[in-house]
Amino acid sequence: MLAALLCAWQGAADLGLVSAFLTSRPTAVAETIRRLAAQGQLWGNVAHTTLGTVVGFAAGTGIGVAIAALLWWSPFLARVFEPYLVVFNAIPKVALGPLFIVWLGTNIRAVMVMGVAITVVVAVVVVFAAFQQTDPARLTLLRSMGASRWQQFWLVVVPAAVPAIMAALKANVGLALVGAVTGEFLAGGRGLGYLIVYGGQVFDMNLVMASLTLLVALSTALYGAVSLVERAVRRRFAD
Amino acid sequence: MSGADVVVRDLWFSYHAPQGETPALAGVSLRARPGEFVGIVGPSGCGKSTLFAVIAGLLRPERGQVAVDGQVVTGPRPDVAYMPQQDCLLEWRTVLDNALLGLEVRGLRTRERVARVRELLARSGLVGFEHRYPRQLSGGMRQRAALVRTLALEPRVVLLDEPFSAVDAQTRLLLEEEVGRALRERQATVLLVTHDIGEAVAMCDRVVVLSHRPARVKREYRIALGPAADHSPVAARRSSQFSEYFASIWSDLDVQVTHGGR
Repeated sequence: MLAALLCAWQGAADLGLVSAFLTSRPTAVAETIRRLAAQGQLWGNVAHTTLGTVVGFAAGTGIGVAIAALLWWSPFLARVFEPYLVVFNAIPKVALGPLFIVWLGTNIRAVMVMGVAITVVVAVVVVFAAFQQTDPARLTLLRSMGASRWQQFWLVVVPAAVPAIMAALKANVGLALVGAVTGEFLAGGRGLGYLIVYGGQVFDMNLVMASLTLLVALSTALYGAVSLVERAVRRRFAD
Repeated sequence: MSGADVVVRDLWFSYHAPQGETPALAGVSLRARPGEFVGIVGPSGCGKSTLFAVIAGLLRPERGQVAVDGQVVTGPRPDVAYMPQQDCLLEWRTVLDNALLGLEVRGLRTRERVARVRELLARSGLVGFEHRYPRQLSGGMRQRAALVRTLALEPRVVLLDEPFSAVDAQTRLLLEEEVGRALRERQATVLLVTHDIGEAVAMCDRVVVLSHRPARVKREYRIALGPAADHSPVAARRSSQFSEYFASIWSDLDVQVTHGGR
């Protein structure tokens, strides 16, 4: 499937059916990636995007789960913050990008914060909903045993929410990548997001396509890693 | 270890909501003497679960009190165990770890107690299933595991909240007999909430009938089925007195045709 697509692309570009200037071609993409590697620009930019994504993902999801726990702990806080959560969820987080740039400067911290902003709300909403759906009969049983709220949380609420937490992880790994690339669009200087913008500005489609190819490979690798974690955890917490 | 004396005195409770209050208990009094089995039956939604929550120390009554061996109940007690409607086994814990849940919560998980719980599991026909997960068990086995979890804390009072409603009819009879025997051996005081009149009559020494919501005690029966039928659910159902109690309680319940009991 992939091979056929690549052949069609290459063929169409070689035969002049589409303009190779606008669409590039697989051989040119491969050549560009080789050139980037030779110039020592490949790994630095890939690492920049990877770091931005992983940190944004881990911090955003971690903070999100922690906030969800806090909201579960205090129904009062949950009532107060739920409307704000809905509004913040509705904001396109990308629009906050310039704000982060001004606050944090055009560096990787802005890129990471972009990833956090985009992932944190999803984690809060999904995980908090799962916490709230804990079977009340189980909580009653725990309470009849004299369990503290802390014990109820760790013995029942969290393990029961593991599938939902895994779902949030999967959704967030993609979102964090969006956040990192958007951050790099705006921050400039480094990263695959920057290469795409730069390539677009100088009409170097080979560079754009090469960067996109690297992004696809990166997102596949990250998603694969999360899936591995999920499978390991599922085995332990399967329904 | 023997059962405790449970005295429920004039309990009142209402649920408050913005739309107004819903009275659930309107002066319920009853008593279960040490080692006695008391069945509590009532129309659906009459407040049985509320009554249980108050006895278990999970809800504070507005008026009245519950006393276990003369001590007023102010919160959950380690010697009062609650067995809920569903087995509530945690699917990420093995059968053994599920059975040890109460000990773990109370911080009482010691090697001797673990050994004793293993023995209880073995006697409940769960040999070889200690390290399996609940999803690998049949409905009856799950309910037995839940019983072991209930007994692990050596309770002196056991609150059974329709504990057999999730299993099929044959398993139900079997479990009634097993659970009844296990609890009688321990001389525990047992309160059994059920909407199954037959179950209450077959298992209990006394049956308390509650009114429609808000619950009051409508009538009390002392169950005497004769020595042959005592405490064997199957034999009990054959005795002639059984059907008399059944018919009488049925008419007390004043069940509407739309939601008939079984």
